Amino acid sequence: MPAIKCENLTKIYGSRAALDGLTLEVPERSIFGFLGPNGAGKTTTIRLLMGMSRPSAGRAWVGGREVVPDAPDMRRRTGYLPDVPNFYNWMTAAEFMQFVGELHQMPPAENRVRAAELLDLVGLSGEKKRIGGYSRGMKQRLGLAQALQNKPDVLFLDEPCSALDPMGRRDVLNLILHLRQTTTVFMSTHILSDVERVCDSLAIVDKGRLLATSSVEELRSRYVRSAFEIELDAAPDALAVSLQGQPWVVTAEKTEFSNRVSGLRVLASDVDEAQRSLPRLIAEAGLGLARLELTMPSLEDIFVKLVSGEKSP
Amino acid sequence: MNGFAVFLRKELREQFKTSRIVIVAAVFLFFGFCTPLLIKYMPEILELAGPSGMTIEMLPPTSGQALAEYAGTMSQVGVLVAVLMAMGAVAREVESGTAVLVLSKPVGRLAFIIAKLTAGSFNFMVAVALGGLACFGYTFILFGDAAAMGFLWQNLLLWLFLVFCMSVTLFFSSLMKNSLAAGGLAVGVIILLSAVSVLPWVGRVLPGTLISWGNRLAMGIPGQSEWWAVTGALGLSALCVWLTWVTLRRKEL
Repeated sequence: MPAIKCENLTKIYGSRAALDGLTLEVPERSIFGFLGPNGAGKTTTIRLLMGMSRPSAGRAWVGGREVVPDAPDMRRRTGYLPDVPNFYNWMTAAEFMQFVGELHQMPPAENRVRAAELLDLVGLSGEKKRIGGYSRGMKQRLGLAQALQNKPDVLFLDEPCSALDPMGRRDVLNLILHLRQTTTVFMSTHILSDVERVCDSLAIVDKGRLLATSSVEELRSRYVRSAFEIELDAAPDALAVSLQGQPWVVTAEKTEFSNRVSGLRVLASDVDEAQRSLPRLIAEAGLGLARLELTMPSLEDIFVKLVSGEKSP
Repeated sequence: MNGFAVFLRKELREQFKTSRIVIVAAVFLFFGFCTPLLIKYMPEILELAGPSGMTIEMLPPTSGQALAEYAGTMSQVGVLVAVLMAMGAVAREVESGTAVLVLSKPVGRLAFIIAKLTAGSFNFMVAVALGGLACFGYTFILFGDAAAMGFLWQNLLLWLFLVFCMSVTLFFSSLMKNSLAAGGLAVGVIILLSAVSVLPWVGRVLPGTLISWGNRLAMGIPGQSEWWAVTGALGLSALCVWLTWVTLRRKEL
């Protein structure tokens, strides 16, 4: 059973679709990255999945229960960090954590211990000042701690690293990694390196529409361009001519690499055939090989291609 | 009502931590002390303030006048304080994002609303009690007598009227995005209902009648009991709470 499931989830504001027919499944105990540029519909999706907003169409299930407004049973097993967490400024972090535990009806002793553990984990233990005096980063860390207070089965994190400095980001990502065995994490972000670092699978959305969903590796292999970069010791004209006649060559472009070495960028339809044939063709052309590399696209390349409307080969 | 006790504890703590309870009590205490003094010495004040040679004939002020004047003042000042207190109760929490954070827990939105109204009502109960005690005590010292039972009833009716005003404001606070707009609409509706209160039949069930009934009780003037106005105030308050709940349930947080 998937931890999160959406079927044709749609949210329309006026004439604009903030989310347009989202259908996806998130497996249990996985870290799922929900990737998209600003305004893509990430926050809308999380709010719909938390039952804080009503869908215009479609349905969603979290932890096997259908998402409806005012669903205490579902919320008992979920945690939520909003994109910009705000708190009661007159409370201290410890008071707020206590309050959250009480809202979850946790036994007082367990509530106290759990709150102390989590505040320690996010580096806010012993912080006596009121939340009103906190920086954005401190509020973000407190937001993450409060989302974990009830040991949720499913955790929704809306841009969890957006306000953090590099050290804070590293700590939060490590914390998310530690949750993998016990919790399903649904994490929206536009920081691609965070997704590459912690997520098992991801979905890419733009303008409310799902563009792709798979594991990070699957996505890479699906969008791999099979592009070879060849650095040579002389002008590549002879090799370029011989490549034109090869059936597995899609394109062969002369290029100059960053070290001013001339060479070719070859796009192949059959990677195995290209790997076998290229060294031979280079030797037949009488050229010396300096470098031959099959380039893999980064998640950033794929993301940019998808949101700019390019299709996979 | 999942979470009512937790929300109520939080709201009550907030009243103290933000000094709201002290401020509201201070307003009621100020008028509680000033009103009997003002009524007692009004003839002398007018004589000193008026042009020389002019004589103003006034009946000697009574303790009943002092108590009624206090209730009259507090029914206006109290409304403003009630509106100021409640106008941001929901709107501000929705706008700042604290509502989305706490309502994502296993709690009900009705509990969230009723806790706010209960804490506000408690705040006003303390303020009305302190202001009333100050006014009654000072009236007794200055005038030598005061009708305790009538004044007690007057204060209870005043408190009920203020609870009604808070309920109306809470509803507009859930309806509007902006606290000021919520406050403005609440004041408008309360004034409108007070104006309609002068109409026969309809007026008798409206909360505005509570103030005039309270004044009669404080001054010892015989007249008809206005239990329909009590029922009306309770019914309209409950209606406002229900409307607030319906609005908040439909609200995109």
